[in-house]
Amino acid sequence: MNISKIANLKFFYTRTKNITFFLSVFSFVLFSVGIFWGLFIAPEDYLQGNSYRIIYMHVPAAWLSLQTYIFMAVTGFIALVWKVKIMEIASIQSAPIGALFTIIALVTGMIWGKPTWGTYWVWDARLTSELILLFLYIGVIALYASFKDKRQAVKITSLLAIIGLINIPIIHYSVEWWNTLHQGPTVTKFEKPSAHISMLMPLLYMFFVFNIYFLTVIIKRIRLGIYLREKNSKWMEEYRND
Amino acid sequence: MIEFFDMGKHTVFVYIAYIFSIVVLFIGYLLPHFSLKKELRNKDDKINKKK
Repeated sequence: MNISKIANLKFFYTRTKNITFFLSVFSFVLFSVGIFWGLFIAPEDYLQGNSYRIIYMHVPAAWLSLQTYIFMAVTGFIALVWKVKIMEIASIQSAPIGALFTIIALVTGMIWGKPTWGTYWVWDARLTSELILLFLYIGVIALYASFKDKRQAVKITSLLAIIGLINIPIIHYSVEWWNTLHQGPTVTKFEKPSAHISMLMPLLYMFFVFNIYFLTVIIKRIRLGIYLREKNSKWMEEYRND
Repeated sequence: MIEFFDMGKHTVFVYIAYIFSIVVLFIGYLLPHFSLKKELRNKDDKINKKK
């Protein structure tokens, strides 16, 4: 399929209606399996007991919060340089999803922190940089809402997203660069992951499921963005009358 | 049955984390769904009023 065809607003809006339905059902089934796996099948940790099971929500959400930010910045960059309309929409519509992933990562991390560290929050490098990520997402959403001219707004939010990219390596390497209460990398030590395979598999599975969820919601959000921009256009009225 | 769901002293923490995540993910899914529906309904109302 030609990429320029997918980038066409009318093509995307009209062809993705059924796809979102199937992706929604697929996400729901995959999530149900993943939650059951993480809660009841994965073995108990010898040191942390059952509280470690929170990582099956916390870690994929944290990874997706970074991944979504990179997505927002890259699509924003493409929109800025090549002025591709669908990239403008994809960039701004990914911000609320990223904010939700960040909120999940922060809150589940706090809930895990209490039984493990004895406190809900510490101002260490990993937690603080993740909180800054949430502020960046909120900043992008608020900035976009404050403009009347939405195409002008996307230019500014894209710039902010690109500048904010500096925070991504800081979040990722914070546990190596500074002494943090947050534990070091467990999974990304590919040569010898610290987690046992029986605990690692549900984690990687949940990462896959979160990606499917992201795909489902971003398509829904892009459709919403296209409608808001094109609701008075001739093709949209013709499509709705069919 | 209760034993199956029991997570020992961490039961409350584990379930609150999971329930919170599921609720937030569900909200994230439903928001664009109902926003689009609302926009479509508003447009239809406007068209009907014109008629």
